[in-house]
Amino acid sequence: MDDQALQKDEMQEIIDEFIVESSELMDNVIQDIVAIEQSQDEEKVNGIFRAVHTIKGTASFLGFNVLTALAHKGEDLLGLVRKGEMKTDQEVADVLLEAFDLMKLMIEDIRTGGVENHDASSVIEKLAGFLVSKKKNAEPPQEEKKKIGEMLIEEKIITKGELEDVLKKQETETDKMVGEIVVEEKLATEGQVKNTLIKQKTAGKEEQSIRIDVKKLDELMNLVGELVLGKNRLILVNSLAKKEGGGESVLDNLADVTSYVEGITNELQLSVMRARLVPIGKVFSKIPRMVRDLCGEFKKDIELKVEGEETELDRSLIEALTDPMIHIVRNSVDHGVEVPAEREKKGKNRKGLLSIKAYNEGNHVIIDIFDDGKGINLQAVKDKVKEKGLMSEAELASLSTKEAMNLVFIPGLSTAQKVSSVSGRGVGMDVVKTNIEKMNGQAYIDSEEGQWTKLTIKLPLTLAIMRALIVKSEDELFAIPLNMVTELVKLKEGLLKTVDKNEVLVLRNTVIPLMDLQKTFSRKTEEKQGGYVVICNIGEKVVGIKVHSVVGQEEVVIKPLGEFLKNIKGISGATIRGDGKVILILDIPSVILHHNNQKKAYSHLRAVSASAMN
Amino acid sequence: MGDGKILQLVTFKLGSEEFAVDILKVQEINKMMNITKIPNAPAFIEGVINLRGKIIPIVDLRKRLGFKDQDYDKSTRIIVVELDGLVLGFIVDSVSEVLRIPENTIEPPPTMIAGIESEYIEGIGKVDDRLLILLELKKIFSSPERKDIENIEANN
Repeated sequence: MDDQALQKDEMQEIIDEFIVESSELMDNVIQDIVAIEQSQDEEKVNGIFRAVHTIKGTASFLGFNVLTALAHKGEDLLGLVRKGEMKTDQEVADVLLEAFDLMKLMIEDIRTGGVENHDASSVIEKLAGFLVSKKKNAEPPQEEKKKIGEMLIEEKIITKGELEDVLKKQETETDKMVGEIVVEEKLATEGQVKNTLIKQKTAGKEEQSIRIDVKKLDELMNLVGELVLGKNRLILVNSLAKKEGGGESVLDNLADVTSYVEGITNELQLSVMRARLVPIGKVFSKIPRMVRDLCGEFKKDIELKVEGEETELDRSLIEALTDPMIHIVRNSVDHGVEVPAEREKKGKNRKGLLSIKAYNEGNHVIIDIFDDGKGINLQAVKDKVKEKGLMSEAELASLSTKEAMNLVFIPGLSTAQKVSSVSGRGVGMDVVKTNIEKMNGQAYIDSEEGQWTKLTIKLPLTLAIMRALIVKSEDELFAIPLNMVTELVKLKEGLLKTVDKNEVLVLRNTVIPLMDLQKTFSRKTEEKQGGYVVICNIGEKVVGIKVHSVVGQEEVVIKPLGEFLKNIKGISGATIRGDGKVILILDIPSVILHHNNQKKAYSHLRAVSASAMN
Repeated sequence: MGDGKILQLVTFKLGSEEFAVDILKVQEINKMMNITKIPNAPAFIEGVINLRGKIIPIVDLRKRLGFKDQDYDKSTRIIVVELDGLVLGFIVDSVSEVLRIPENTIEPPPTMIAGIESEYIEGIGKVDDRLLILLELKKIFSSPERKDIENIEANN
């Protein structure tokens, strides 16, 4: 009885493993098929073949017969492609994609129900049809592995001339391997040949990686978080000891320990963070397939360029990024790039361009999504905003071009746009922006009407720890994410002016709107003079935040406020300082929104969306 | 009926009234700690505290139940409870004791008691000549209340 149960458990474990592995493989395969449809790539074809072969093998071992049959036929067809007996034109890619989509569905079936629920017979038939009709003759495949002799030359162990001598010798002593002769002739030691042989065997294998349960990593991250807090505390104690005195040696010791802990903590934090990093290619991998399908759907012709797939991001960000990316790409294909005929009329290349690029910039990852479509009709956007009563003519006129461009992110605006299709950008840009901002990131858009649109996403490398500026308003401390802060200004007479009853800061001849943290957050109203202005840069917008004093920069561990308080306006989370006190982290974009309450636009909108949600 | 199930209750005081909550819901009882105020939060939320590295919201039960404000003192306690996986704390004047009473001595709430609407009351327990008000914690921290507040904000 127990024995059987145990076996069942083990079996389930194998099946679970299979599901994880094969789902991953399938994602890669689908991506690669779209790639080889564009240009034949021997390595990719081999990769696909191997993946399908693996799935077939495991599936048949586990008794998933339908999946096995389907994978088998798919493998046959891929075999022909691999041998060069079949070209991967669109037809072939279509049927392969159909087959692999079905395989994915089956794996999903197995995950949820334990058996495959989909019928594969029609797809198997289709595949078989291709196998018969498309077969043509071609050369046999080339040897994949490099010869040992060539490898020894590459390793600079023997020379070309020496190898030729060895090969001649082999002709007479046919039962001996090249390696053996090399050793006999004392051209190389036995160890060198052995090492080369190992290299020959492993050549072409993928980089090594292990799969770690995210939960374990999360735990580790939490611990590191605690350690960072401990470090902060130690620093505090150290400075206290200095202030209040203590033996010279005590102080020395403390200083020593502090710097040691600080160093080790920083390193640990970095390496754990790195362990959590995943290449952004995981998000990008779905895009080629999507663009291909969308092009078919909307009759567009688009060249997709993807760069920087190796750029790494925190795992949690990768997951949260998928939806916005899909949204943006859909938008670009659907509303951005024009149909070929229209493009030709405009004197553009028939084939549109969609380019996605990811790269690092300091502690941030930037993703640019560029399309050379019709761009944003600024006037149409402004008209819409006015029509909806979100902003007055004067307000609109005061916006810079870039600021006006970013009006497309206002919720409720885009939906109407799609209906009337005045401009390019469709539904849900506000959702994209909100999602990005939730990740402590920023999203902004730039465009030239009729020419191009570029959407830029800026994300922090990790969510858990960030640098923040600690400021004081009255007696309360707040943390402002440092990535938003551009500069600090000490308030002096004459810097502040009043425009339209709103306080502004005049800095180097530019006027910066101000918001007072005390007025926004405090229940008290008495004015306190002096203080600082923290200049923040959010997307294309610059605002100043008035605070009473600035404490300094600190590394903060972001803690959520929890279910109960998650929707508090202007606060994105909290952190615990060295002394154990909780301080709040400001959500700058939402603070500004909150502050702008007198601008009817936003409050009106919120009322509308609130009633829509009820 | 009358199977004689015994309830264990933590009893505490607000003013002269005695209240009780099921001990199984109580995680711990702490002395008053440093509370960080949260701007824009509902008025009865006093703020958040750092509970061994975890940040949890704190409700002032006096404010929540419409009692008069009173300064915190030496006997002020924070009762930390877990409700459906949510950990939160509430401030009470003092914590009295842990009581065991049979479930069947608990009576359904009258419509109005001590100025508290009966929806927050799970029942009334009688122990000797004392009256214990059993609080319905879920209602006290529940969302309809929060929705009301959100709606008010949206309408302004």
